[in-house]
Amino acid sequence: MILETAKIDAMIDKYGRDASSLILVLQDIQALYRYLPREALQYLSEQLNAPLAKIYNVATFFKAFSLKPKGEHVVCVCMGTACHVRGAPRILDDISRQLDLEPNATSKDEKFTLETVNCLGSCALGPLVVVDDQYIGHATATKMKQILGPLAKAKG
Amino acid sequence: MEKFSNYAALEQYRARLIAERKTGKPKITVCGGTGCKGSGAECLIMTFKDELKKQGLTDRIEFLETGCHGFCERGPLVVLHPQKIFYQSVKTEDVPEIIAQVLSQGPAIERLLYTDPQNGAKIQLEHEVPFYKYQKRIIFRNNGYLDPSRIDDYIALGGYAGLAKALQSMAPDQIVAEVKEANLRGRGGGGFPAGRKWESCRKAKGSPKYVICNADEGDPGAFMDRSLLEGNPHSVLEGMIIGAYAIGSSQGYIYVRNEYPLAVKNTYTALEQARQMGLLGDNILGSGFSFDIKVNRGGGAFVCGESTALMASLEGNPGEPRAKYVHTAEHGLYNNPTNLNNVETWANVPYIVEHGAKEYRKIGTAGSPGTKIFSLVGKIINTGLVEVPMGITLREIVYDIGGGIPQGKKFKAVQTGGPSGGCIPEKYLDLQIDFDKLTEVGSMMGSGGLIVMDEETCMVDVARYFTDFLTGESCGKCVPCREGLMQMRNLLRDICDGKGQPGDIELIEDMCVTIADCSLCALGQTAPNPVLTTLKYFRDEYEAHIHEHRCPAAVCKALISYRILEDKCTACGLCRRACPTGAIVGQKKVIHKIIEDKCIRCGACLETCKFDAIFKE
Amino acid sequence: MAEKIKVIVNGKEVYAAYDTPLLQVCREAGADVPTLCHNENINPPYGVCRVCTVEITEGTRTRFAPSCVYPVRREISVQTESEPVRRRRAMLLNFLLARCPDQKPIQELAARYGVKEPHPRFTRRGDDCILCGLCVQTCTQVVGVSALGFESRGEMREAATPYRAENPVCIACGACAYICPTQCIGFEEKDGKRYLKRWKREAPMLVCEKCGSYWLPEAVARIVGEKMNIDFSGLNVCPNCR
Repeated sequence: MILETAKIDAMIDKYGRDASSLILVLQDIQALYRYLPREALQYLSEQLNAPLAKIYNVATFFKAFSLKPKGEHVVCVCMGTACHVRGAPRILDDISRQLDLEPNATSKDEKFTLETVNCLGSCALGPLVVVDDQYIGHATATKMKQILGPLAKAKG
Repeated sequence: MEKFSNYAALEQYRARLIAERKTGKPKITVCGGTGCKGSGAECLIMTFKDELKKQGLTDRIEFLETGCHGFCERGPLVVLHPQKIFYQSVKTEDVPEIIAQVLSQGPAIERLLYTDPQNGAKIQLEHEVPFYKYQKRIIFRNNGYLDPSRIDDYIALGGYAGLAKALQSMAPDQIVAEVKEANLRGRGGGGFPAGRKWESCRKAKGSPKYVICNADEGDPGAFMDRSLLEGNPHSVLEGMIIGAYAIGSSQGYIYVRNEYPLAVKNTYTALEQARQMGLLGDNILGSGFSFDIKVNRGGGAFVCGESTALMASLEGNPGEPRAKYVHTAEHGLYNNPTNLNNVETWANVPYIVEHGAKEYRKIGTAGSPGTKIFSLVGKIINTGLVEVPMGITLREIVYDIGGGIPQGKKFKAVQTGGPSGGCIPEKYLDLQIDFDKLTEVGSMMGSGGLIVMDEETCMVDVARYFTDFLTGESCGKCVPCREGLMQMRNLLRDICDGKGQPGDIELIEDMCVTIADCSLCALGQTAPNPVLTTLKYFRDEYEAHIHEHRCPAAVCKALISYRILEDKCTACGLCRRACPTGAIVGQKKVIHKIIEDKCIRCGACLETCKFDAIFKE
Repeated sequence: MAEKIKVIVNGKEVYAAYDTPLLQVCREAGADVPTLCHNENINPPYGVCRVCTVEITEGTRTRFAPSCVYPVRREISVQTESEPVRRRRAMLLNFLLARCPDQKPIQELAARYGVKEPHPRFTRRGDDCILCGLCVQTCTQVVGVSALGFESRGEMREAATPYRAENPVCIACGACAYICPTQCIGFEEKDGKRYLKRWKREAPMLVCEKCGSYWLPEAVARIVGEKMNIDFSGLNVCPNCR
C-alpha cells in the first residue's frame, strides 16, 4: 500500500517529534487506515528515531490498534459486568451466529468485524451493542437482525 | 470571548452573566449524556430545536442541552424550569405537547411523569423522585443546569470562584493543608488521602512537576468519571488548576479512555475555552501562575488505569506497571515528581477550597468525608449514577434510591470495587458504606461501581467473569498474574462447565495467596478478591457445581437444561421458530419438544413463549 | 546517606547502605536467594519472575516483596527461606513448570521447592520461554540495537522480533542466547552464516583469510568498526591467525 507520508508527518508535527507522541500518532493512523500498516510503523521508526521493536510492542499491546484491516462495519458488543449480568454473552453468541463470525475476527469480504469491549459506560442500556457509531441499547437478537441484515445485503 | 487579566474581571463577567440570565423565561433542558443519547436524546434535542424555531419561539422559551443527570434508566430526560418538572422516557412525538404545555403554563403531562412504584402516584418535581430524593448531589449539582460546551454556563453557576480564591488569597502550602484537613480520599479506588499525596509531591525535588487526571475509568459497570467529564468538564479542570498551583506544577495531563468519545470532545472544548478566557495557560487570572493541560487518549488497556502503567503509556511505552517502592509523587512521569488523582477526586477540590475543609467534613463519615458517586447497575430497577453521602447504607441505595430488584426477584449480592473488589451478601445490607467499612468485609470502594445481583446470578460465573476479564487485561509482565490468573480462569471455566473436580476450590485458594502476595501491581494483587469473596459467602454454589453438577442459579449452560411443560404448551410454534438450532420439534396441535443434544441453552424459547410453558432447570 | 541501615537476614545482623537492593544484602549475608530474571548487567532489574520473593517484617507489619527491586531504606528483618516464602516460591515455580515443563533449569529449581511436576489441574503450555525479558533487556540496554521486544500482552505475550520476521538490525552477536536462563535461544554456525533460529536470523560471517574459519558476524564487525573507529580490512584475519 502507498503510505500518505505527508499526513503522517502532519500527525507527528501536531503531537511533537519524540517518542512520547507514539501512541497519539498511532491512534490517528489507526483512524485513518482502519489499521496500522507495516509501512507506517517502519516510517514512524525512522521519523521518531525509535526502534521498530518498541513500536511493534506498543502496536500489539493496546487493543485499540489492529495490524490487520478492520471491516467496513464494526460491531462491538459490550461485555462489561452490568451488561454481562443482563445477558451480553448470549447476544454475542447470537450475533456471532448471524454474521458467521468469531469474536475479534473480520469477515473474509472485510465487511464486518465483530469485537468485544469491556464496558462503554452506558450500563443502563445493557445489553449494549455499538454498530459503527450507533448505540443499540437493550439489544436483542431480533433488533440485531433488523440492523445487521440490511448492512450485509448492501453493496459496498 | 473575553480574557480575564485579573480576578475582578472574572467577577464582573460573572455578575453580568447572572444578571443577563434573569430573563424570567421558561426553560426546557434535555440531558445530553451518552446514556440518554443512546436512548434517542440526540434526535429529541434536534426535534426540540427545530420545533421551537418553526414556531418562532426561540425568543420566548430557552432551550439547554445539559450534562448527564444520572437517571440513565429513564432517559431521555427533560426538566422544565423554573418549576423543575421532571419528564422521563420522552419521545420525539412528545415535543409539540411539551412546548404547548410550557407556553400555556398548563398542568404537567401525566404520562411523562415518574410513577411511584409503591403507590402509583405521579411525581412532578425532580427532587421528589425517589431516585433523586435520597441523594446528596454536590459534585453533580450543576450537571443539569449547564451545557458542557459553554464555559459561560459554568461561570454563571459560580465556576472558577474556587480557583480565584486559591490564587488570590491562599498560599500553595495553605491549599495543601486545607485538602489534608478535609481528608479528601482518592475516589479512584485506593482511597489514599489526596492531601498527603499533594504534600509529598510538593516537597519532592525535581522539575518540572506534573499533575495527572486519571480518566481511564476501566472498571466494567462504572461510568461516573465519564459523566463528570462529559457533563461538567470545567469542575475537573478547576480542581486540576488549583492542585497544580498548590503542588508547583506547570504541566498537566488528562488521560481519558478512547471509548468515551463525548467526554474527549467536551474536554477539548472546555480546555480551549478556559485558555481563551485566561483561566488556563500563561499567567492565569494575572496571578503569575502558568499551567496548561494536554489530553491523551487510552489505547484500550484496563491496566493503564494503574498509575505507573498510565505514566508509562504517557511516555509512549506499553502500559507496563512498575514497582512502587519509590513513590510516583517523588519519581513518576519522566522520573519527575508527579501527582495523579482520579476525575472525581479533582472535582471535589473546588468545593473544598471555596467552602473550606470544615464545611466539607459536615457530610459523610469521619474516616471518609464528603460524598461518593456510585454507578448503580445490574439487576436493579433504577439504573444510573447516584451521589450519596459516605455512611449511607447499601439498603438505602439498593431499595430507596434504586427501587429494588426488577421482576420481584430476590436480592443476592452487590459487587463493589470492580475486578479488584468483592461481593457483599444480603446480611451486610445495613453496612454504612465508606472506604474502611467496605475493606472490613473483604471488598473495597474501588471507583464506585455497584453491581446488583439477584437469585438468577451464578456467583461462580461472576468469579469466572472477573478472572476472565483480568486475564485478558493483564500486561503479562509478572509470573503470578500472567500465569496464575490464566490457570485460575481455566479452573473456574471448568467448574462452570461441569468439569470441576474435588480439590479445585482448595487449589484456587492456595493460588490466590501467591497471586495476591507476589504480583507486581494492584491488578494482580487484588485479582483474588472477587474469587475469595464469592467463596467466602457463596461456597455452597461452588460445591454444587463440583459435587452435584448443578448450577443453583440456573445460569451455567453446561449444567442446565430447558424443558417444555406438556400441560402448558399450546403448540403455537413460536419457540420452534425462535430456536436458532432447530432443536424444537412439533407441529400445529402437537405438543412441542426440545431435543436435548441440539439445544445450545441460548434461552430464546423461554423468552418467546407466552404461556410460561418453558422451564429452565 | 553515609549511615548504614540494620537488616536482619535469617536472624543474622548485617548493615547496608541506603537504597541497596535487598537481594544483594541477603546474598552478602550468606542467603542463597534464587532468581531467574535477574542479571547484574541489567539495570534496573525487570523484577518479573518474583522467585526472589522474601518475607519482610518492619515493626509489626509483615509483607512479601521481590528482593531484587526492593530498596533497603529502613530497618527490617528478612526471611529468605521461611515456610511462607517457600510456599509462595513453590507456587510460582509450579506456574512456570506448567508453562515450560521441559526446560531443565526450571525443573531443577522447582524440584528444590518440592515441585516435581506441574499440578495435574494446571494447563500445560509446552512453551520454552519464561518471558523473563533478559534477551530483550540485553539487546536494548547492553548491546544497544533493540532487535527484540515483546509482542501483545497477558497470556498472549511473547518475546519476539517485529512481525516475527528477521530483523535486519540484529547483529547476531548471540548475547541473547548467552543470557537466556532456559537456554531456549539456540544459535549455530554453518555455511558461512550464523543462524539464530528463534529470530529467523541468518547473518553472514567474516571468514578468516588465513585459516578459513568463520569467526565473527559481519554485522558485529561493522558496529564495532563504527564505534571504535577500527579499519574494517584488518578484521579479515581471525585472532588465532593474527
